[in-house]
Amino acid sequence: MRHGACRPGNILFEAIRLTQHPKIGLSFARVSLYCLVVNEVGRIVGESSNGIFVGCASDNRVCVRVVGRGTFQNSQPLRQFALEKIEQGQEEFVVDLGQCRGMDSTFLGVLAGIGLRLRQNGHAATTIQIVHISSRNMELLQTLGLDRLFSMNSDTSPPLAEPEYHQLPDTDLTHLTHPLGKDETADLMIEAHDNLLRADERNASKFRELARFLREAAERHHKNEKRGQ
Amino acid sequence: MKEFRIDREPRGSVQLIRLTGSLDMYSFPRLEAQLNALFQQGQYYVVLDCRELDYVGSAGLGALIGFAKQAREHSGDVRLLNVPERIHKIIELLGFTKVLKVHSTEEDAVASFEAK
Repeated sequence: MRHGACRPGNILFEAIRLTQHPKIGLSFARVSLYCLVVNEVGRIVGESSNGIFVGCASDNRVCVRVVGRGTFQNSQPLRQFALEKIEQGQEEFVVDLGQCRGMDSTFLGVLAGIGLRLRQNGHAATTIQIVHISSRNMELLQTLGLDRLFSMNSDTSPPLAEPEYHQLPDTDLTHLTHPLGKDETADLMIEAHDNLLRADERNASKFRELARFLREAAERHHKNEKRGQ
Repeated sequence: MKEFRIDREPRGSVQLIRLTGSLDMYSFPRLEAQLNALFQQGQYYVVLDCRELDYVGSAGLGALIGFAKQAREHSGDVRLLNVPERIHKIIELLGFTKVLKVHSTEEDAVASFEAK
């Protein structure tokens, strides 16, 4: 078990969990990140094994670990964090998907946006490394053409010294304290899907209707708001 | 986590589709293919039973919007049935409840097409 930093007052640790394969029946060990949620008076009020964890490696690479699902509901903190790091001059990101159970198109669009921003700043595509990626997730990223933006590695051994991770606030889908409102969600999703279309034009056929719907819904909402003023 | 499954049960001219598991980036192409096949067969009235659905992502909802748009050109549509509360919150937040009608009983959902 290895301790690390979480939100102030919370305890982050890695634990080895034995999991039985549902089909072949063999048990295998899996290292998972957990976070004990501690309230203001020091009482443990919950346990979280989901969320987006970030840290800085000794070689200055920004490390991101996705535990559980990456969705439109927890993408914004990652987007914000990555943009701040890029503004501060960070050029290399490592995204660990070893414990990622799934990603939706908005989360993938946010990842694509980080890659596009780095490329816009003149950095090579390989400045984002996706590590510990499952064959299922690799296929998904390839289908969306995101393998052009990232270098991907399914190696199960950690390629870098483990940083001290902390959990980005409001990324645990089971404990969202300040979920995004309608407008913010719509803006995030529109930007994320635009990123997917920019990353690979073949994505237009997959997301055209969704992008159009989101844009029209946002326009209607803004018009109604103006009328109400 | 339940494995994603699509079960189709015709109810007269209405196609009742029961979804199980997660409708996400990995599974939505299967639903999209099923809806496209129905469209090719001239089946434009679809009720999606979401009772056993664990999760729905934006791409899955995009597939439904795409089908609904095409089906409406032939006086058809998509209705959602038995939407779990956590999923209802998501589709409401994203504004999809304004364009996809939600029903709580199969009779209502099927009858909504007959009333057209």
